[in-house]
Amino acid sequence: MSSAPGSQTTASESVELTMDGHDILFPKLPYDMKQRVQGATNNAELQEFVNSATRMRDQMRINGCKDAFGDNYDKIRALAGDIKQHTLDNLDYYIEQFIDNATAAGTNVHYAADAEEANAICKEICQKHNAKLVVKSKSMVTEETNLVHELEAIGVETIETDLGEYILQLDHDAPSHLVTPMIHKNRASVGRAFARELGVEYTDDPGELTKIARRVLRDKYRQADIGMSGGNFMIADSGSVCICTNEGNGRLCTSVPPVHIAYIGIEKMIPSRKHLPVFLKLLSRSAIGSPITVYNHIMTGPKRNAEPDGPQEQHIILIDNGRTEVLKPETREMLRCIRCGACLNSCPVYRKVGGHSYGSVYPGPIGALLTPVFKGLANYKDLPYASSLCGACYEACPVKINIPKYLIQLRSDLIGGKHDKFTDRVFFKLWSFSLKKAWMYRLAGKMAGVFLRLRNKGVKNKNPYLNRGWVEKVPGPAAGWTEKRDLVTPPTKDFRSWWDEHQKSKGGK
Amino acid sequence: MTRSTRESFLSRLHKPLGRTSTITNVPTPPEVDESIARLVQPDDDLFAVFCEKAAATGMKVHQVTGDSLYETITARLREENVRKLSVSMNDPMATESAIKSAGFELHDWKAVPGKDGLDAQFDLDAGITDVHNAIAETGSLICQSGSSHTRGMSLIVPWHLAIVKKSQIMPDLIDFWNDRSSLSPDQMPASIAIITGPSKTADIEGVLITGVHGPAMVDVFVVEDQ
Repeated sequence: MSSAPGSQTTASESVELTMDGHDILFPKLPYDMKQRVQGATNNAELQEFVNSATRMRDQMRINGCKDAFGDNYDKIRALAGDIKQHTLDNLDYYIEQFIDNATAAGTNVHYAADAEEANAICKEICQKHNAKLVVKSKSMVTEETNLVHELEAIGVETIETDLGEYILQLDHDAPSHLVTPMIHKNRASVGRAFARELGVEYTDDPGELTKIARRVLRDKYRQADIGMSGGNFMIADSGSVCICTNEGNGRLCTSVPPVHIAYIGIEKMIPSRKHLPVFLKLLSRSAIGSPITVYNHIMTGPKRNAEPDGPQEQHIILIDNGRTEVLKPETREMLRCIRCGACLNSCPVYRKVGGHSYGSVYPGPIGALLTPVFKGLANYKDLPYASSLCGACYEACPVKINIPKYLIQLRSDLIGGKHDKFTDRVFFKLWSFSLKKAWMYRLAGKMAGVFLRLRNKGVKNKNPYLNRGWVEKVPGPAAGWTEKRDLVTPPTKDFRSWWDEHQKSKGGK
Repeated sequence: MTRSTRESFLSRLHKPLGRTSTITNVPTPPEVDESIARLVQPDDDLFAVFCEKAAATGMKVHQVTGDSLYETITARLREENVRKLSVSMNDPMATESAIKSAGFELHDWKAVPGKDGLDAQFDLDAGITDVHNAIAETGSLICQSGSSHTRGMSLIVPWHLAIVKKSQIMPDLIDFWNDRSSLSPDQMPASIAIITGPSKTADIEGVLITGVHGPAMVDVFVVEDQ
């Protein structure tokens, strides 16, 4: 990580200066997110970037989807969700069908139970071809398996070619968003990384920086022995893999080098080609609001004999790595995810804490679901609580994953179905009781007011409306409310009483 | 380490699905309800919709006739100071001779196939292709791999010029995939690229930049009378 004098710190730097990209995504377990959250919320620049970029993209999603689908927006999300759910319910069938069809098209299909096995297969293919250079396009599952580090460890130079991922790789940083991986970085940090690592003259002009990256990476495509990709969709009835990119790097990685290896999680399956357009229509609109990504590359086998060019060998590595754990009926719905990032953009918590706070490959609301199931709930106790349960993620999700419902389920699992402290149990019992009748709710409100006034630490009765003093600390399960700020002491007369009197004085009822 | 096999890998799936072997009687998957998913109807003015949508993606759209096609193309090539280019299409004769007689250097990609052939395409200024179809809904070009189609001409060159016949325009992505869905895996082209605009990125601070890895410019010549 850059330690140049005067360099602006990123969220991760302000937490731990020695942390590199790997540690960001693979922290010490069990993971405590508080430190990184604090780093992120204290970082004014990160706050501004992530907040404005996510808000903008969320609005673009809404506009793009409403323009295209109008009143059918909800219906097409339900359709996409149904197709994915059906595929997951019958995943064994569709995987078998996919294997048969891909094999018929000439693809070598491999099976990886976990990250270790996936990387071992990949390294063997690299060694068989005596590969020195691998170019790869963006793939979250390769982040899961830590592939780049492992290939570099056996002497295979491995280059990320997605512009954002390339910059992160140069700067030893890690992605913080599923679609826009360097959402947490500014142009100056990119300029510094390019000057330091590529020996070019410093510039912070995004157009110039892009040109430099283009020039460097074009040579890499030409020299690469192997091209790697992930896969947005696998199509069972044709054995095809579809990748969706805007820059063109994905198509170059899968067209120019003589060997193509695709890393794909088993949940990326769809039944047939006829189902593909539903997802192509939703993916890019949900991610950035555009009708479709610039390049959708659907690949079925290696180059045919009569074709002049294209990879002579195609390998698809089907990856489990925890997915069959999520496939159990209680959590199966989580695997519908098509990694559009819409839940991140819509989430008020993600906007504040940024992606690295989630301490895993998958950030945001979907990450808060998947990570605890992939890596053990006991290792990620904070994540189910990293949500306000406002439901914005559920509304944004193109495959209708009921994220809030599963977050509540995880919270419940964490406490084994009941709160561990006696006082907490009494408190929540009383609370749920008081919400059952209007008069009980009012009575509870009045009692809370009395209680808070008793704890008042400030000036009393100088001006009862403007300066009522502050409550600095409340005990028990409500302590969180005063951990970061003081509460204004409630007035002796509550709003309802004032309203009733006000209406009476006006002659109302 | 014992390696996973097809059998051991599938048995990992069977457990969470609550069975011991792969299901055979799979229920029919949900139909793609066109009243929800279709965005362009077959009786819409496909030519107009395609031109509008293609232009919205940042591609330059030229409405031409069979007679004015080559004139328009060579004028554009001159405008952009193109020196060396290549042609990849089913029937390249007419295009190639028009290019040559207008004085441009024509690269013969067929002379060197494979990786070396693609390598040479990195030095070209432009590439002209036909398309296998076009999609009105999104303004997309469909470029498939095949014996007379190199993958590089719509990908490696900095400028992609595509010739679209009006009759090739399909209403919706749904129509394209319905059309291709009866091909067996070995009949499918190894590569189908759905291209919708010039190469783009917004990775650095959300600033939209055109032309990252793929062509920075795409010109589409839509031939009205073909």
